[in-house]
Amino acid sequence: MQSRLNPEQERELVKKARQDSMAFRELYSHYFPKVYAYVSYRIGRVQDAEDLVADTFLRVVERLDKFQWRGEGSFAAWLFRIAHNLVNDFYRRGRGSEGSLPLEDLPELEASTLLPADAILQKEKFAYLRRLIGTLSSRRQEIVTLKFFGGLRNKEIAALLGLDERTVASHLCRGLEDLHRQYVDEFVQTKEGVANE
Amino acid sequence: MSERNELTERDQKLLNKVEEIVANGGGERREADSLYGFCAHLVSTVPQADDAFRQRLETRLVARMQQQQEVRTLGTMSQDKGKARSPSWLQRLAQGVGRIRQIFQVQGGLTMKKTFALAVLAALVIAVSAVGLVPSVRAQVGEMLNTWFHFKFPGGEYGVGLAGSIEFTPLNPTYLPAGLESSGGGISVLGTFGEESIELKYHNDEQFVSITQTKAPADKTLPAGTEVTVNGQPAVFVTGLEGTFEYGFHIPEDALVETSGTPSASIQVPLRSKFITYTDGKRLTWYAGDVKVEMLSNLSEEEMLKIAGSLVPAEGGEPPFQMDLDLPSGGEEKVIETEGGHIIIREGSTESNP
Repeated sequence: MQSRLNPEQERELVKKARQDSMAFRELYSHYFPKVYAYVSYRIGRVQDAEDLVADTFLRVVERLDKFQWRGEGSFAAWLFRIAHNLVNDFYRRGRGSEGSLPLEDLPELEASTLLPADAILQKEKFAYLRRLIGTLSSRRQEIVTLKFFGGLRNKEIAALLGLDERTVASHLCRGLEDLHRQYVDEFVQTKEGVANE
Repeated sequence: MSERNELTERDQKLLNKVEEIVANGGGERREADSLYGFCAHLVSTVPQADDAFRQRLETRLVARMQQQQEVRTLGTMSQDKGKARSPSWLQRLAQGVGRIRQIFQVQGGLTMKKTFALAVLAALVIAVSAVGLVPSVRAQVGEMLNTWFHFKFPGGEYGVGLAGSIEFTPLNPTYLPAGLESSGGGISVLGTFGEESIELKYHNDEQFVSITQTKAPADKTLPAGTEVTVNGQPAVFVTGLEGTFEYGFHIPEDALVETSGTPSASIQVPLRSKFITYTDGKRLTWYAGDVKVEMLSNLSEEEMLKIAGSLVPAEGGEPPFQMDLDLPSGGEEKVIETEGGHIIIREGSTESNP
């Protein structure tokens, strides 16, 4: 699901998409799932996520003429910067939910999940992982979600956040270690506890 | 701030594994209690959009794209006819000038809302940076700043610079529903398809009103709709409109603006366009002397008529300040000294070129 476009192919597609709706549709089909996944993890509530994803792509349509190709990954970085800014703006306006959200407000997960194909369990898992990611510093949350759900390379994340690529890599490693440690402590041990009872 | 960013061999291995996992979408099943297994687990919990939403959005985007292409075509046609039309960057600059004035007067001066004001100022300069060094374009900017109108309403006063001259005296609402004026409602000036027009915009989080004024055509026709009157003049309501109202400042997506001194915080793309999506929009159209007025809003018809009835001619005057438009050429930084600090403006982002 995280396939990438060949850089030359992407460059050509972006160029064509300014005039040609077919090219735009192709670009949209490629990036929509990634932007949706990233925004959903950052926002949580499906209705808000849909609004922000719609705003992101509307801006892409409006500003595609101004986009300048700067090599491989530059389009993804530009696109996700729009999404990232909208997400930040959403929280700045105090619209984010601090507490846990009702399961019916959460998005569905892809059917290929490792967990049993039970929608409620999947949503619980999503809520749990989202809460777990929420314990990281805001920078690490951003990096982990851009990496795992936006599917961006470290270089693209670095460009988007104005950081050094090495700093991104370091945040990613430390963030994943923290997440994993908490996961093992909270979830796996709880599961074992239940199994032993 | 010190962040530990050394990468060990183990980190490198983890990073390689993460790349592999992300590329394969989770790959084989693993127990999530190992670090790599946890990464695979993370990547396999990807939220999936409702397909109907994805398709609806795609249709909306393609329609928007086609609409923009039509606008471009119309713009080109009007230029071909030799009519004066401000370039889009100049229209954006005009919006910015209005906003800066708004901050100075409504919110009590630069010191009270310094970060906001500096951000707008920086954004304004960025908006013209691509063309600011061209002498003929700079002359246009000077001309633009020579036309100035003040717009007063309960709770504040706005000023706005116009792009070039305008053939009618714009009107100014003296009544607005409570809440709209205090939410930073903006004013913008637009040149539409070769015809000078002025658009006043006010909003809060959910409601908006946009008042567009152009020179009245000779025939003064009105659209089909519900007939009403505004100050004794015939007017028409068209209801059930859907769309998106946009407000806020346009900043290039790849612009990076930083401030230092006071305020010391780094600002990345500080102000952005925002949107209110409406499904209950109404357009009220009428003629006030030689001005055609179109008011689009999601307020009630009663409120719209009240605003319409309050329009009076705006006062003219001199521009309140001059902008320094010496801007950086490719890759250089521009430092603007301001009260209590300075703004550093760099064009483009930190993305590296190939």
